[in-house]
Amino acid sequence: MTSGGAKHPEFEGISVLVVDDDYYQATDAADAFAKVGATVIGPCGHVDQALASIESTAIDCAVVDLNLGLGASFDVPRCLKNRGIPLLIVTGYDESMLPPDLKGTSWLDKPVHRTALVRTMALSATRVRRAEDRAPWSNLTASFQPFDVPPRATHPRRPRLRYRQ
Amino acid sequence: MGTWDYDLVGNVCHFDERARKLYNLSSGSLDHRPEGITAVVHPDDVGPMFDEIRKASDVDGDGRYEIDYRIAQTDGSYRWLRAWGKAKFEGEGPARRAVRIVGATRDVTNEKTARALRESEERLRAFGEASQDVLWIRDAETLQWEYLTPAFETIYGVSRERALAGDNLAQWANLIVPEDRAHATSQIVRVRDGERVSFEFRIKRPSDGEIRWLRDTDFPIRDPNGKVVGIGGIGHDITKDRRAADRQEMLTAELQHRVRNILANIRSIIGRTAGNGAAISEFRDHLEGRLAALARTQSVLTRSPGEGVDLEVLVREELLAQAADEKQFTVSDSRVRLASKAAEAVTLAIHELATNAVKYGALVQPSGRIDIAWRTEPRNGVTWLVLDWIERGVSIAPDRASRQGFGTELITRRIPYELRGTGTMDLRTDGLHAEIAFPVEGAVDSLSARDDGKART
Repeated sequence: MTSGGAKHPEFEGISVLVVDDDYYQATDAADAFAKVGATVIGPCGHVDQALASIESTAIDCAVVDLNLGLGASFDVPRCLKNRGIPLLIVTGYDESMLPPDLKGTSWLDKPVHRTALVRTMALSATRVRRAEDRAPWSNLTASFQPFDVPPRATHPRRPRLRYRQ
Repeated sequence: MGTWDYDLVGNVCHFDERARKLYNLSSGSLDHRPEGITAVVHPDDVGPMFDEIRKASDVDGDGRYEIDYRIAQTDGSYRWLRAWGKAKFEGEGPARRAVRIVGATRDVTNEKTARALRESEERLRAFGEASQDVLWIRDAETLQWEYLTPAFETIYGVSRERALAGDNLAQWANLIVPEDRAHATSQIVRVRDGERVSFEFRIKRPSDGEIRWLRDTDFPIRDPNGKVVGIGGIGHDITKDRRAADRQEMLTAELQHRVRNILANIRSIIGRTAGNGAAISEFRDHLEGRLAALARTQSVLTRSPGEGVDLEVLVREELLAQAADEKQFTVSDSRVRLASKAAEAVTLAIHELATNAVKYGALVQPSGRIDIAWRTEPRNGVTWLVLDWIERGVSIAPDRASRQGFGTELITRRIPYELRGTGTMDLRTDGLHAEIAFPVEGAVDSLSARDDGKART
């Protein structure tokens, strides 16, 4: 893999919930976050498991697939949003699928490269955290060095990232 | 009404003053020869007029004369006249002949146009009654319905009597769902102000509570001075089109999701296939085999969408894809259909087991046998499907126990993760024993272990 596997202190002590019903994609995402130093919660392949994890565990941010086996479901993103937990949707659906109350949520199309995944998560989590002025994410952007991705943080909704394979 | 007397012998017709005016003949004389008359008769009516004269003059006939024809007016228009009379005969035997026809004429233009109007109205009404679209006319002043076709009852689920009672604009507006109501009524006002409009709205049928989509095309009806006196409308039920479009959109979204997911899956499979540091040729063989298994699942799933995949077909296809000798394996024949998610995982699992058996296990050794059997059983109050892959008569290579590859991860990790089941790989002294088990809820479309040959229950 790429330098996306390098450890980054910014993720130290940060817990990331991974929700995807596909085992390979779930474990790839979990692996990507573990490699940069985050604490991975999950991965969860089913809605009830994801909701139980949100209920029982302190979660700093989450990466969520919309289809957990039974068509698109918005229960998990809604639950996270209601709790103010930053989330990143990674899915094969088109963004137009999003219901109005979830419009504007950070979004990446599948298939997604792990570097883009980790980088976008850092950006979207920071944005929300900073708005609420919550540590330790408040200083993250200043100290965060993009892996092998040119920073284009000005696109708030759907960062179009370029990365080397 | 005017009268006339046609002298057949002198070939001249004598009109009274009123008849002369009716025929729009030049004043000065009341006697006119036939050429003068034919000049004012509509060209199409000249022939019938002479036919009628001949018929009335026939000595064997009853002498009656009756005809409607159009007479040209000074302004170029025509008026309908009806002339009737009787021929007078003279002489006896072969000498008998008609000498005059005496009759009267009156203007029937108004009767004729009223009748034509009535007929055209009848025709339009017949169209309206037969139309599956609802046709209607509202008075531009009161905005109340003056005309409403029976299709209204079919589409709106309200009888016409009820719909026309009271303030029927308000009644109609109440049938429209609240979100669309203001827009729909504003369109009616635009038509009253002279515009043509086309708009879509939803109604909720009081009869069954069903939501139906309508497309209304409404237009102003004007009097000869251009003033809007009515509002005409055609309401077309587009519920079916809407549903088809929604379904199309959903299918496209699911297809897109599926394609992207498969691409993501292939990426993961490539990464995992390359992960063990094997030679490039081995990597290629493994990758090709896995993609082929993936492709087989897709083709079976799309062959009968929503029907699931027959487990027996799935297992046999994987074994035959490995060119396995049918004498070396047995496959359970109890009928089970797997839903797509379970089918994808199980196909790949069988593929890995079969590849493994061809390379190292039961299918490469002449004494080797494989029994693939499945059953359903209750576990914690839920029905599970338990599939066993049992190899026998295999001598195990010493290095084989340590292999922890793609297939092992698939069976012992992916199946539990995705299907909430269990997966074990147990290398026994005479061969591999793998067990895949998962709850059938959602993973199996329908299930029947009975031997009636029907999979769906």
